[in-house]
Amino acid sequence: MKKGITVLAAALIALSALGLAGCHKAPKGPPKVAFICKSYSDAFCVWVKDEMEKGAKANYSGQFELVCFDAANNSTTQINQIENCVASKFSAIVLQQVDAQAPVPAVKKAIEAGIPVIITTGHIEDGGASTYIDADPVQQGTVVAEYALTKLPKGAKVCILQGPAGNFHANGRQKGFETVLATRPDIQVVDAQIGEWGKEKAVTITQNWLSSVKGLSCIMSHNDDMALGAYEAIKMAGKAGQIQIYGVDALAAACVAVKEGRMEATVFQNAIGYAEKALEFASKALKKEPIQSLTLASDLVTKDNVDQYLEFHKKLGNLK
Amino acid sequence: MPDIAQRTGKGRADLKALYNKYGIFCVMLLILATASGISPAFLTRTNIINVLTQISVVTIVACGITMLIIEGMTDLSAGSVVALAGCLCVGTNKALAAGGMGAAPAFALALGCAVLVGVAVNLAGALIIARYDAPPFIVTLAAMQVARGLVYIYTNGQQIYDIGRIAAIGQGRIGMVPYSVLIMAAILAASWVILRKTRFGRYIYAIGGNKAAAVASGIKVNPVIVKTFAIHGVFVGVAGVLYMTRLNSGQPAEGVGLEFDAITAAIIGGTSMAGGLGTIAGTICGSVIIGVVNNILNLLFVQAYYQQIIKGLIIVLAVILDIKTKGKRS
Repeated sequence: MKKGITVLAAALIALSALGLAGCHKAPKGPPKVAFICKSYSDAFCVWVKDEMEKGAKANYSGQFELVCFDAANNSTTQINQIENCVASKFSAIVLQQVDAQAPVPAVKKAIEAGIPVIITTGHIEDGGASTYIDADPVQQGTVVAEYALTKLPKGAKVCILQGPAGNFHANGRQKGFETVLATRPDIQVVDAQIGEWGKEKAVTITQNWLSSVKGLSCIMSHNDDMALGAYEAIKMAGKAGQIQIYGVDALAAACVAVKEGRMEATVFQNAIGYAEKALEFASKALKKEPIQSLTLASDLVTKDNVDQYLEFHKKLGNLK
Repeated sequence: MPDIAQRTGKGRADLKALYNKYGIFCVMLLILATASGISPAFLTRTNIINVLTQISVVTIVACGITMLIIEGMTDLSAGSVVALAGCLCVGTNKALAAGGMGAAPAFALALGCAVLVGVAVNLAGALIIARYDAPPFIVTLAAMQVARGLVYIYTNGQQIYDIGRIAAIGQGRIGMVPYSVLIMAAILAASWVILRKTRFGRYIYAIGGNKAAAVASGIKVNPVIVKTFAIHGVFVGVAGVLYMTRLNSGQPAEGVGLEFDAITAAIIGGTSMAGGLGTIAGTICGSVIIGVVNNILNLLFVQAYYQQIIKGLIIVLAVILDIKTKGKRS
């Protein structure tokens, strides 16, 4: 009996030793690349995620496997995910930063561990340790405001719907709006309120503007969701068509709105470019080829060229 | 002589009682007067209708939350469930319309789905609270997560657009009065009747005031709690429909923090966090105060950062005033 127990124990120890040895082996299967999405509840970020998944399956399935995570717009979650990816030996990490500074230590640790980190749809302030694919939000604000200048009547009254306080993209777009609008002294920026990227807040703020700003001629929004919210408020007040609306992002719904004349213009953030470049960078990094940060240009979308973007959205399945 | 003394004494008591009863009402009037004094845009017909539309969703949720808080319960899941019910409503309607169903039956089914899911989530929570005597704070916090997850799964994280004519529920009006305001009025009336005119309402107060005493006096506590959550679930479902149809789209990420706005309205309106105290009339006042403060700060173009500070201070002031006036009762 005693012997039996000893044999059993020995067998157990041997088994666990085997198990431990197994842990030290490299993970099975193709190398894994992580994509940490900023938030699954942000339409634009999810679009980039979908493109990443499609692109990885179509073009890189032989080289690596893409695994997606949702940082849920929370820096702590994102940092944990980066650390977990390092611990489970991912070969590269692609991420959309929730914050420009919070993930820096985690990213640096990953790079020290030999895992290349690629930031897409933005950048972080790590002094060049990671590689980024970014757009310039000031350029986005500028390009749409310059178009608005050609459309706005003399003495136009403008209100601005802003993204969250301190947000990198919101600040940049605001700067673009302000700088360009200031070049025409007859234009008056009456008010700017924070709509937090959300449609509901935008509806409420716009309703209040409609009763407090006499002769409001234009609403410029830091993103399309808020611009579409402004439209709903204007429509409910029976003033559709009397107030110009401008947005940024070129979401499918906004492109339709531009086509149908509900919005004047929006700016195309190159979601596909963000995804394609990120995958290309990841692929190159795995092959130890050099990669270099780059800024993607964002294009103005107006009634004249909206058809090509509608086609784009149809091809992607965002529109029927 | 004693007759007169008695009379004056009684008169004073009446005044005090009046003041106690209508303290928060006075605060509301004061804020309304101030608002109309400082902005000419405030008292316009359009603006008043705007404010009423803007507070409709929060007020509807606050009705159910008032009942729950009076009962010694709470609900933190309301914002998520509003998103879930609303997206389910517009999504169902869109799918049915695409399948060739007529507008009216599709509306009815979509509404039914929203109310059903509102009731289902709240019932599930209530059963756990009742069965395990679990703290409602934690159980509804869990429900908040689950409901948000469900709405992301249902919508695949994307907005639902082109929702069709169902948008009329949140955007349409009869004459000058939007449907959402009428629905809010109906739910306020229903809540008032439940709390003031039914035995069930008295049980709610009794359970919140002293649960042990309620049990001792023969009230079947758990069924009352479950029923209250179910009623709240109906309200939350309706609120979800209004919320998303007003936006003319299904927005899975919206409605965050809505439950706290509703709880704040109830508390400003004099509902006691300790349970057993509170009225629907008070909650209306609380909701109007918050809505008007938001509105007037916008009308005056106050910068968003300052708005938050001012809102916080007004909440504190309203509550201090309420406690002071109530304190005089004893």
